[in-house]
Amino acid sequence: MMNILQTRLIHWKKQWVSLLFWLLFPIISTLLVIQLTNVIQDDSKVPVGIVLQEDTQLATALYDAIKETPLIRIHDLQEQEALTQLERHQLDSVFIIHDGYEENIRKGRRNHLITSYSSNLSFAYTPVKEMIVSFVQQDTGRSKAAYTVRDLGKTYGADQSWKWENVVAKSIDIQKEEDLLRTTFSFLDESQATTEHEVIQFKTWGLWALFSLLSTLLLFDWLMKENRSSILPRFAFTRFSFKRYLLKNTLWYTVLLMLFDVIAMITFRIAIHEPISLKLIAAILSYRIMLNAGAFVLATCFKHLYLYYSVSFALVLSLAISSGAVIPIDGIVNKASWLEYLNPIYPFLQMKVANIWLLLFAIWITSWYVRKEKFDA
Amino acid sequence: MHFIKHLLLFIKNNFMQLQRKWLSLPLLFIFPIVIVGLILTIIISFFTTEKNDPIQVGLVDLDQSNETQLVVDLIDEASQLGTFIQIDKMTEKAANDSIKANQLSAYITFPKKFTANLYQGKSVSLPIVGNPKRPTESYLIKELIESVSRHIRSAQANILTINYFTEDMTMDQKTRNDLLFEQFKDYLFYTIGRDKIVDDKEIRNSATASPTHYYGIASWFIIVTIWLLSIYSFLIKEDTIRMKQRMKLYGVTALQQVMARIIVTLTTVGLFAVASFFFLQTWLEWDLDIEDYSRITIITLLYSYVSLQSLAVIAMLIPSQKLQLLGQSVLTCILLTLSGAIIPTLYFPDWMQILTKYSYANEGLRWLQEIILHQRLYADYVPLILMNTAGLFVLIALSLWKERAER
Repeated sequence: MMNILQTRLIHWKKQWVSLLFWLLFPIISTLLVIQLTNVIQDDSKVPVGIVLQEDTQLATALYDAIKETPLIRIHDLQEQEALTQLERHQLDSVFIIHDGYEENIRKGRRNHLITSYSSNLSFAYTPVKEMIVSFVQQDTGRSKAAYTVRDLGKTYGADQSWKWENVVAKSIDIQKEEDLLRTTFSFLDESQATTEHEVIQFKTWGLWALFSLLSTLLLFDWLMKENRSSILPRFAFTRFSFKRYLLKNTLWYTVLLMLFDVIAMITFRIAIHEPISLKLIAAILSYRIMLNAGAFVLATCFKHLYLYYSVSFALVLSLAISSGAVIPIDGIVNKASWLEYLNPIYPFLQMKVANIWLLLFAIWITSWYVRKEKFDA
Repeated sequence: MHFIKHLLLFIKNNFMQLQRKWLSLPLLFIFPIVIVGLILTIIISFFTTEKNDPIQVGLVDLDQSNETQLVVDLIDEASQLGTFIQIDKMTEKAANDSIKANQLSAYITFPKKFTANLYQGKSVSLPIVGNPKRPTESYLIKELIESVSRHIRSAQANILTINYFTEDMTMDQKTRNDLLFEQFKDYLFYTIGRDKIVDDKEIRNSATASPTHYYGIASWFIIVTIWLLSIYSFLIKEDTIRMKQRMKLYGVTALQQVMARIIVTLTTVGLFAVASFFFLQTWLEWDLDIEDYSRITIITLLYSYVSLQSLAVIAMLIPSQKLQLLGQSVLTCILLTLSGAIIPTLYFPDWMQILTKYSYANEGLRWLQEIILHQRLYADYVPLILMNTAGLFVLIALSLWKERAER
């Protein structure tokens, strides 16, 4: 065992730059992708055209409120221009604040205060509309309260004289001062409530699983590099058979990769506060063994290096899409639960230790080992 | 003359290489289609589940006051949150059991003293518990309840305002409570009827500009891009050092080999692209004439040529094969994102929209969309031609430099 390690170390010493790159690749790429998507999402805005037909206080207040929401980029336009831009898909949607907006609100009317235009490619229309409606509804609701107070005052006889502005101002005060209704969200069996607001939230370990799949496959190219016809006959004169040599080396690769799995865990803990739990450690351990066994099986099937690399990339791409790490697949998996057995990454994403693929690879390797060897002494 | 002769020789050689491995060609042809098809199936299945069998949501009422019972009954009878969500009232234990049995996506709880706290202006929280097996649906419910609670918040402020002003009025406690309950009901229906504020109108400029057509072109564009990458890398051979030396003696340059590879890839992908385009066209019923076809061909050719050049540049810059493939894949991913084939570019942040102007993928896809979706009778080839020329110069410079360095 030590002899193997010594020869392996000589190999590693010669190619340490490339080795280190691929070992660190999953950690760095995961952090990079997460940072990048966060930055892009923070800066992403929905382009919305606003046509302001009147210049009153309530209308401009509404305009400012819409402008201040982080989700929307406002384009202040005339009606005709806005509609043309919407037709050419330069805007997501157009909202027209009609003339007489303030007057209607003050009179307690709220029907058709705003006209909205959307096209069939307006992907963000519903949330934007919902938000603008909630702003308008605040104003009309306050106006409604004012009229209710006036009517009650008539019935029950109030001391002070009624004024629309007073009631509205009081309502604004109350809403500002008091933190009234909040929602909390948590998953069943999870104590902590999450407060994430991102739309696309990549799972750290999902990304890591994909990137380490790629790097593990590419690191296992030594299996082909050392499977040369000029070397093979020499194994007949050593203490090891070629197959044993490969298996023992795989073991040392596994030790090395596990070391970097631990580094990944610590890095993610420090950099993005990803919690470490026993469940996670067990899942990573099982995933790592499955991954190395899988890479071993795949690498023994190939002779040409470049083809192996290409297949690795193609494989990672297909698994990335179907694993649920990038696009959510719970819609499909809930319908046909057998699908989850098809993808070797899926159990790890669910933080499960048992993986049917691990068993398959183990059977494959055993049968491969038992088969008759060409160069046995 | 020598250049052309060598070029033709390598083109022939590459075609022979393809012929010898003709079995893998259908595989290369199908692979990107399968990938894009897989993505589309996942996304479509995600949206259709909501329509066919609605998301199941539980409602747990621990408060049991008049107000919450009114809300629960109202929601229970007619789901006000849209047809794709089914809300049922249940006990907390039943809700927990249903989530464990994966029958429920999430449940909402009205906590004890919910109404009393609401009337007194104390802070109340509305817990939503999601199903860990259905995270996407759970988050959807959370977003929905959050937008509803925004409405409740302003309604509550108004009720508290009314309460404040009635303090001066002469009425007994019971009348006041009844009054508040009346107001609560009033505001509940007022919130439900909020859609009256907006007069919805939809603009349709042309029949072809629907999401199906948009993503039809985008998918074809993605598929062509992946073909370019996969066939180009399929043609790369591992030349031994001896072979390289021998070729150098014959006066063969790296540029000739790269050019031959590019031409062979263009021809093969061209065949694939034409076949798939006609299939797509008959399926989506695009109305195109001869001039449109020629514009589409020129744009696609210019785009394909410049992207193959960039793949070749990466191959020349990076000696390690693993890193080459990584670099080419990363570049393809970035270009596809910037092109707007995945998310339309108008939703990008400002700095990314500036980046898209320098991306040939964005230029290519944009003109394809203009021609096919918006029936433009004109295409501006100048930016793509400029990018092609720039790519060519970089490629020539690199190959010259490499030959000097290797000498």
